[in-house]
Amino acid sequence: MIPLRARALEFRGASPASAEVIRVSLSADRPAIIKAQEGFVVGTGPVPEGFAWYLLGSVDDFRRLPIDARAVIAPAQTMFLGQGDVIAVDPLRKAIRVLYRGNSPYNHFLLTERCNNYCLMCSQPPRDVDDSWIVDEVLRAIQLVRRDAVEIGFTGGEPTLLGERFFELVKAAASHLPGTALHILSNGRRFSDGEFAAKLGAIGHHDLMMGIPVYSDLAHLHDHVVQADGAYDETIRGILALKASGVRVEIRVVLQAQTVGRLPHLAQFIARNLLFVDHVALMGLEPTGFARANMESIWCDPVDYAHQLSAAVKTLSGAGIRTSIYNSQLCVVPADIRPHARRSISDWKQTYLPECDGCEAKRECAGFFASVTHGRSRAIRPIVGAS
Amino acid sequence: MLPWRFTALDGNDRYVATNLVGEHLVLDRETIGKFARQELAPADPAYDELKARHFLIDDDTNVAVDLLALKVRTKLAPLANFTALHIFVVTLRCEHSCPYCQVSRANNDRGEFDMSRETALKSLDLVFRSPSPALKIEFQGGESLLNLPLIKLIVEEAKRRNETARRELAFVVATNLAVLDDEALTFCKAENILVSTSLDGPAGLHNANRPRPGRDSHERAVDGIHRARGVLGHYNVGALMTTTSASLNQVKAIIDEYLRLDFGGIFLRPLSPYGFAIKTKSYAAYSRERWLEFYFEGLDYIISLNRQGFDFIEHYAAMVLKKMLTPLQTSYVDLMSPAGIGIAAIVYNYDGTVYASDESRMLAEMGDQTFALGNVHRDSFEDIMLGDALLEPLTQSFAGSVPGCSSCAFEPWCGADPVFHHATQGDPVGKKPLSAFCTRSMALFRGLITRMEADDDVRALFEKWANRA
Amino acid sequence: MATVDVRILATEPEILCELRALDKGTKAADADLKFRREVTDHQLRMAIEERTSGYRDLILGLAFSKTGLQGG
Repeated sequence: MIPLRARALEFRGASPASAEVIRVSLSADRPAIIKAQEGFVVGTGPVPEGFAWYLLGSVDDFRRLPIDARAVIAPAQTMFLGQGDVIAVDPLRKAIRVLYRGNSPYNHFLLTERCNNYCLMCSQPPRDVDDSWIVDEVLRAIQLVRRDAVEIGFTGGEPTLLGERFFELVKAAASHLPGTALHILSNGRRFSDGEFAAKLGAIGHHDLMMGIPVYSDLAHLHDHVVQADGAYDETIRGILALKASGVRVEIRVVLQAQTVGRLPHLAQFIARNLLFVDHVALMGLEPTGFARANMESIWCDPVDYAHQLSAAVKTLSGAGIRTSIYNSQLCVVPADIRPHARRSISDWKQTYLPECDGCEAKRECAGFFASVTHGRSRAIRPIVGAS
Repeated sequence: MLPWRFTALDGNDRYVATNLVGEHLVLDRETIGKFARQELAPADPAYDELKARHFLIDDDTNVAVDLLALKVRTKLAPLANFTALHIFVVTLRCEHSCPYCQVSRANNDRGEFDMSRETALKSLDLVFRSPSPALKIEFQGGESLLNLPLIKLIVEEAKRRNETARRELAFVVATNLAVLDDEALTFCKAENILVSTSLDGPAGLHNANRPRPGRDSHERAVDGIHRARGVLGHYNVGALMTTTSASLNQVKAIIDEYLRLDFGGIFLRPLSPYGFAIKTKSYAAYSRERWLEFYFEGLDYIISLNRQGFDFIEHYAAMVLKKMLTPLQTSYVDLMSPAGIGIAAIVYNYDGTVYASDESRMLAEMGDQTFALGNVHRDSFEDIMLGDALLEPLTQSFAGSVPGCSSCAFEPWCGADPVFHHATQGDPVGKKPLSAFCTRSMALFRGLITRMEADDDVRALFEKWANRA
Repeated sequence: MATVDVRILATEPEILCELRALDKGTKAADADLKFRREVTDHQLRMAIEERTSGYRDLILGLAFSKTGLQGG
């Protein structure tokens, strides 16, 4: 697993106020004016002069640096940084935040930790803090991300709580990355205000998809999962308003004890009422954050809901709706719906088990979340022979 | 409580309940009563199902109102597209003499029963007045291929006009294939024209229904099907059966014939009450009951074929199931409300008379001109489409507003058939308890639901058909 | 299809209903039961319609509220 955030790092030569977002270079061969804005990842070769920052794998490299160089020692991060990646260096908090990695297909910018839902299985538990500084950091990062980036994402917390600044971020993505897809995770509730949805549509982002969770065909069950009364109605109205404003919508369902029982009903609900959604993502549980704390009450072994998952996928795909299964190991997904399973766990979170040795489907399989060792099916076994 | 209706399903106290857009639940009489009297407790298992299907809202949620409105619009939106199917009767000449057919004439070349060039062009004027983004032009007769030159002219001219009109144009030729020659085949291939023929069943049945000199109608039809497939592609050649009283005890043999010829499916059509059938009073109550037996025997046979792994579809059920199980509308003209006459399909006869439907034309051949809407040489598009001859039966027969239908749970799935009710009862609405259309439709809905409720595999099969229809 | 023919004579204070089975197989008792059930069902239907007509109007009003039905 690759750690994106690191704290308690040792900084040298940097004043606490000198936090900034920089692009990273492994190559010394950069114009002087560019070097002055970038961070150099120190390797075994000679250390060039003129970079704004130096990123070290070991404290021993410090003596090789030019005098007065600003440096941070971050062995775990520097190993994985590549040319053109974007990071925030924060001497005040003694932290590095890796904001964008070219080698990763999944680059999500966390925009805020505030949220108006309180989901039982939230992997990013909400904090009611003033974290508006994050928006400025992300705006700066978007400007540095390379133009050929395939996709970036916005996540949280609840991004729409940022109000006007949310639109500022979408506009920035549209402007600086006109060829890059934007995937935004949101509970959709704010869009039940049709004008808010219309404003998003009016930006005319070239390739935008809103990922919105719906957990049941019954309002009270959905509201229970997200721990907020009235959330369901607002979310559904939000989806309708977004589609009316020409914004693409993906419905996300986390597969857990509270949702798998009525999964076939939810699929029928979507096929009858939300036939126009652009994608449905059925997601295996990520056992971090609240999910870890509530594990007992939310965990359901995939082999125990295989029947419901199969029925749901067949209903959705039968109705012509694009459907994918994320975060689920192939061996516990029924064979007849395996074509819908995607290799979806970010490489920095992913791992395999000893039980997986000899499996022929590893390359297509999502694997496991490395962060925890619980929440794994009792039926993990290698797939051999079948295609 | 949101708007809903209920109708008995069977003699076992089961009822079908439908919401405003025809989503259904099967409930027992006690539950129906409790719900109707607002005595149903949230703890009752039926409560959640009713809530999820938008039969009720409560303190938790009322977004059902928005969703129902959206679903109503989705069902009705295709109405605005207006007439998509335009039938051209290019000739009445035919070399067959089928006893139930009342339109065709002996095959002479005097041209008096052929559509003229002027009539064809005037009819095309009206075709392109329809705003529909997709236009299907179907050639019928008599035997339409006996007037191939005119078909060619119409296709050419339609394509020329479409360069500006930019619609999705499709052409179908209805033919008995007995006179299918290479010239016709080459033309159909070049212009991507689909071919639709008649196949009533195995040779004995088909030939008895369709006499021609030589008594070889079936042989020619099958030969024609193979030849046409060879040139046009297997699935560009379709077949329809006509159900006569002779068909009624042979449903398996008929299906086997379609299976043998690899059609992928069959449309088990109702008995026609028009023409010969009405004249000889063969359209009696006995026939209606027998047809239902015929149909369900056929359907159950087809279901068993699917269990054995044959991907074979029954098209009538598929179209009904599409209305029952999806939010989408079907294009089956006979099962539309408002009725499909004129506004979904329209007929331009060889002499320029415009009819509201093919059945309207048959009625006229029997002497009843009620559903003749005008003439292409004399009347404008507005005269024809806004005249009382069309608007009166359309508005009067709308099922949502007529007695009986307006309180029937099956109404969202059903149609209005003003021509049928006029022909059998003398007015476009009819008394539904006396209507064979109603009896047949209700039996169909009940039969499909009963089978789905009894067997999950059948439910899955029906959902597959509904999505493909 | 109709199985029982009903003739209704509304003479105050009674309403007299004459039932006639349309096929020989139907017994009088069954026709009676069927008719009574249909009447009860219909009373329920009318009650439902009255109770829900407000929502029906609202939903239909919403459905038709935007201009240009074509294209949604």
